[in-house]
Amino acid sequence: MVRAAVVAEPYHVEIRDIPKPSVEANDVLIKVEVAGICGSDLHLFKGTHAFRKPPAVLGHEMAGTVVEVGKNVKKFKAGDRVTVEPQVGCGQCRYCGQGLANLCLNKKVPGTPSWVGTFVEYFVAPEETVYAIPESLSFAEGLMAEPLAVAVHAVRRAELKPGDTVAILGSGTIGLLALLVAKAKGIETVYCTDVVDFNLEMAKKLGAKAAIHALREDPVEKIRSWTDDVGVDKVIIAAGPGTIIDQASAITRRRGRITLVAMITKPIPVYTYSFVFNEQTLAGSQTYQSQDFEEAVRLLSTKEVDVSSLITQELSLAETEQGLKMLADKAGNIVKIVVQP
Amino acid sequence: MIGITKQTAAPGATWREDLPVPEVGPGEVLVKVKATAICGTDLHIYDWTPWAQARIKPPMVFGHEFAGEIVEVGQNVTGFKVGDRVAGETHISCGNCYFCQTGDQHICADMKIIGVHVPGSFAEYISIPVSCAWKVSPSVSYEDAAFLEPLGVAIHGVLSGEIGNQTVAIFGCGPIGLMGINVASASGANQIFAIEPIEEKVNLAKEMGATTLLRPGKDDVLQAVMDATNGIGVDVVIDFSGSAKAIQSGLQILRKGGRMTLTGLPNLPVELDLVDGVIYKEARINGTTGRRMYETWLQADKLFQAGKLNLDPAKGGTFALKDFEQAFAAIKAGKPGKMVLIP
Repeated sequence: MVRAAVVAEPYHVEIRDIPKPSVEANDVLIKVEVAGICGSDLHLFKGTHAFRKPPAVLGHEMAGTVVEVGKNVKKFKAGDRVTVEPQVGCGQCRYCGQGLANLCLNKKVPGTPSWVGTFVEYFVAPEETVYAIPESLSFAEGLMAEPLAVAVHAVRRAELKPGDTVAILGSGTIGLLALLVAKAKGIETVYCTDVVDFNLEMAKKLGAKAAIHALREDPVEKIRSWTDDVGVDKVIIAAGPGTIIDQASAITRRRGRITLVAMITKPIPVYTYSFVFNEQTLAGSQTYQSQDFEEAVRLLSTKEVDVSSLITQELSLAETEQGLKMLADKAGNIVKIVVQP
Repeated sequence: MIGITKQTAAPGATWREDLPVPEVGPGEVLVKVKATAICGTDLHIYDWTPWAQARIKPPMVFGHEFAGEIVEVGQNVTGFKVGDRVAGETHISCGNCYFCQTGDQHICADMKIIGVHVPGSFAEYISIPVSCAWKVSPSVSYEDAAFLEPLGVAIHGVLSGEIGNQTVAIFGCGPIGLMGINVASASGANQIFAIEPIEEKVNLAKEMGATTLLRPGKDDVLQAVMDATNGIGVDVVIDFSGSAKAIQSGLQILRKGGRMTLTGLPNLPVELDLVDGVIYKEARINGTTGRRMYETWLQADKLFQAGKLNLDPAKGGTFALKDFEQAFAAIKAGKPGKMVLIP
């Protein structure tokens, strides 16, 4: 048996013993050194996740050490430091055929009946989802490959071009990582917003041209005034209040592009007139393709993107519920909380 | 000259036979209007809705979809001469703003619109900047040429993404929706679902190239589209209705990775399920407005030259200009197709 953090019912996490996973021929067994708390874990914790429902083991971000490999595994051996791309496409649908496992009609992800979550002592993953991380990265930094891949994909969906002005709404993990990716791609002008001073300070430190407190100041007025009342070329939405789409539209220039990565779990009213009148595009961004995950691991390994300052809390597995509540209440200076199973 | 004016700040319009022929300024051409069509915008002006009240300064001739013959050219006009047959582009762009200077005059930040900000085409003559005159070939009738402006709206929306061999759902079978169906068909769309609750309107879609007609309220749109697309959904959704229900339904029937174009103007915010409708699907929703200057006009020309368009089913009726009240009444009675006035 192995220990796991399970959302037994909404707002209640139990540490339970679950069976140690078996290692099939193409599998890698990994001792989980760290697992990360993501916003989607909060949705599971609150019972609002679209397809992860209690009872379920939390987590899909992790990094660890290989302890055992199946007989067909070629690339890894015991002792390797690794992280995992936590999605497996069916390989047979029209989307998998185009390299779009993120849109797969039958994909397998952790925290569901088909694959346990990563808040466990030992985690099994098929070889094709496992990526080596160098000694120069801590396990916690290695775990950041997953949210970084989300940001890499969102930035790719945003179709940033040299010289673009960009606004990133929300400076949580994904917003800040999108900022880092945009900066790494040579984008100079990135405006960030948030409602927590700590996150705004972080955005500034990581290269935002300005960081706007969205409750104390009006991001629309500020950003339009900084862009000759034209608006920015591209907006990435990484925060989910019910007015965020309309705000994004008002910040974006005509024929500009808005990329939505934040999970807005309830239907919200959207003033689509503005998208028509201003010929704007709203594009959804769903997790990542494998090419984005590879890019994320590369950006971390080469230190083109330094995520070390984003890891703000390290907790024990027993403190998982506390960590989820901290993130839900934004109690303290939080970006990424990791737990050590 | 004869014409129709929004005479006072009140519903209705006034027939006039004593209007002065407009003066032809430098860079303008005087057009004898041969055909002018009624747009939804004109209905707002006619009914004096809040939209119109905020924009129109009576007394003024309105109307902006038109075609005619040049009878006089102003100073500094080159490239046009008396006798040229032209259709009217409605947009008068400023030429100086960010959008004009980056090739997107049709979304000019300081746009003036014929028949809204300056006198319109419901009259015997109209004087327009040469930038609003588009030469039409002799093979295109004046009535068809008067349809080029709204046809351009349809073309811009339909061709704002891939369309050849795509499965397409088009919401709204008003004149622009019908023309959009015809453009999608002419551009090689694979299946075309025409979705419109009014029976008389949706039936016309068949003649425009629609392969399946669906009436929300009577037909289960989601089920019908999924059955016809192996449960995948359509590649492209184009909304010409502006209806909240259409936009919501469109996001449901759109396949993953699909394109949804919004061209119809909604009045109110629309409740959207952004997780299932946009993120999980990686949908791309793009708005289009008006027509590109002048890419869309060239596209219209090519489609016409190739004989691929048949706008007749989108024609609701032709009226003498002085019978404008009958034409407006026909629209309000729900008669399908676009109404044309002949001065």
